[in-house]
Amino acid sequence: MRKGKFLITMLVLSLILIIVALLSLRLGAVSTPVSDIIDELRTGEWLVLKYRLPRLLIAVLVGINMAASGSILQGITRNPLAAPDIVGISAGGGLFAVIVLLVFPQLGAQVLPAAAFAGAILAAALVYLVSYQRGGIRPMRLALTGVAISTGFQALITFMIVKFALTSSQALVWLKGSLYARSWQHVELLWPWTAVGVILTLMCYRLLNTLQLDEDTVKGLGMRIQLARLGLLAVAVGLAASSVAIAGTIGFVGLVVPPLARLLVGSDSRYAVPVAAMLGAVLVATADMLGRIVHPPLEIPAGIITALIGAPYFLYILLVRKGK
Amino acid sequence: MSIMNKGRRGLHSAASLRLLFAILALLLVGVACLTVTFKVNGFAWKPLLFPSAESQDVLLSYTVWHIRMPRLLLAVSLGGTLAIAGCLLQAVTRNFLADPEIMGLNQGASCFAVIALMVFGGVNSADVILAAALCGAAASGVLIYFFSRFSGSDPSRLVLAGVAISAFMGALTTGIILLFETQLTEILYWMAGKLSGAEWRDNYLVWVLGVPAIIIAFLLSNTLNVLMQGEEIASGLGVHVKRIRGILGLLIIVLTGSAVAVAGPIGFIGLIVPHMAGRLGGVSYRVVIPLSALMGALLLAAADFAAQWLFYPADIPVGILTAILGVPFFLYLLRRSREGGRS
Repeated sequence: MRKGKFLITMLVLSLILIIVALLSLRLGAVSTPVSDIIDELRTGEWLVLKYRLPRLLIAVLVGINMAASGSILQGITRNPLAAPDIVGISAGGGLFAVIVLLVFPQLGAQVLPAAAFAGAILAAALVYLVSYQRGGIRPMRLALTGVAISTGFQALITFMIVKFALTSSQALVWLKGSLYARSWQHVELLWPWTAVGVILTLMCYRLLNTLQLDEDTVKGLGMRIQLARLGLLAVAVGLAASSVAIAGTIGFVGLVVPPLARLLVGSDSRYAVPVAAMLGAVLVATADMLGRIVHPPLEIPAGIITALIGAPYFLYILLVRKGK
Repeated sequence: MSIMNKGRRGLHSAASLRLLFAILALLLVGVACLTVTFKVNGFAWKPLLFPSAESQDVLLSYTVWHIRMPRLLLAVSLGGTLAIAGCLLQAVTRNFLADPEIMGLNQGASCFAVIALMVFGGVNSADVILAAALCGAAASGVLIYFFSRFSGSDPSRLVLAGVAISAFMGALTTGIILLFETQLTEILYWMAGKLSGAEWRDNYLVWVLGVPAIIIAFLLSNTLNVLMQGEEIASGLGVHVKRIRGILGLLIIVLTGSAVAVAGPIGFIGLIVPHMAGRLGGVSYRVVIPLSALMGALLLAAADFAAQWLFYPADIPVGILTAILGVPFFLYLLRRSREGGRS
């Protein structure tokens, strides 16, 4: 029965994603009828597709990455407030990426993902160490520490932008998570991360499920709990860092989507993670589309739209559902 | 129960308090002299203080009186303003992690200010920004008040709610800026909290609103002491708890809003200073409020001096510096506290 519900949810979400994708290809500063798009596909003369398709793919990949990363983090910390942007991963990746962009522009695109990844790991380690106290890590403390460290990184980012204010407008757009001018090159950089990360997550679903039990039970089952946590954490950081490196900090996706997925299909990770990934893809693709069509020809970065949706939802989790 | 001047820690006697105030005041004067005179070409006190026809140096007096002095005074006034805003906010929310920046008051004010700038695009007047910033601070304040009813006694929850509010307001602000991309760097710089380019006019603006608010805060300090004993005890002692809370909320909004209107959001002064003042001066707000004002002024003046010269010729927004100072302090407070309780 669970499985049936899962299949139906996935089907509905795929349909929504396809509709959003079609709309996203059709709408924009210049809207293109669907028949023209099909024509382009048939004749092989890609014009609209050349610019809109990679962007759409990146939105989907970023959504999947962020949602899967959030699912893992929330699973291993048993903390509904854990998410890549809350735990500081996004800010750390952002800082290192900005340093590369502004200080070593000649290094360019090859180094950028590596730098973002290093920054993300550094930030995650920092947050983990600072929030660790005797008796482990409490949810609120982890969230507050992450927020504080993110604020610190944000201050450093602003510092970098002010000090090396060459193209601060570009840096600002990038920081707020924009998919502007993303091309096939970016898709090629991003998709291996998504593929490997999602496959690893799905392979480890049993691990994720067990880690949601309380600590003593897990130890009683004979699992090497710290090792399992560390491995999953590395996957989560990799997923989030790669998408930060490509698309900037698109916030609140990793926070908002996983609880929603669990609400839809229950807490079994085998079902919840794919549903979360689909939801993430739909959310980011929609946000990117809205950002493009609200006020053409100007664009609002997708990250701003996800924040506007996500922040109220965060308040809702925090305050209304606290009894649970 | 004796409330006056009975700090469990810190300096107790009136004499040592007086000494503390004197030392801080001296330090402030020292920082002020340094800020005004540092790297001014051909500086000398005499022509500056006693200008006469033959020794007048127009460039010198312009540099000191119209560039250095307003900036210094603005740092001093805003430091005091923000420190007291933080002090009152921590008292009202009974939350030792509260700060106008963390709780989203600053972001609310800057969001409304940016909206006002865009709507009244041509009229680039300080009054419009001021009014809008006050409204924005009020909007965030009302939200925080509303959430503090929900969040119960857990201080972390309220802070996280504030973080969400500031993320929301921040996203809105950036969205508006990007849509109406005019003078982007200008606004970005302002949003990081800056004091450069301060004019006398900015000072007057802060003084008109800030000084009465600070005086009222000081006059209310005894009531605040009673309020900290708990609402029931306070109302038993004849304090109109609701009315006092309302007044305090209004004071916080006025202090924060006017500060943001002039200099953009400068964070963490309101977090750091009240704690240090409490350490040094005990628990009575009669001491803590003036002490906070003095220490806040000193801290922001020193931070602005550092921001101005540390990376010369780049003039770093002082808000970045205070954030870099404030984040470790916040983490320290968080680590020291037991979950949920006061330290």
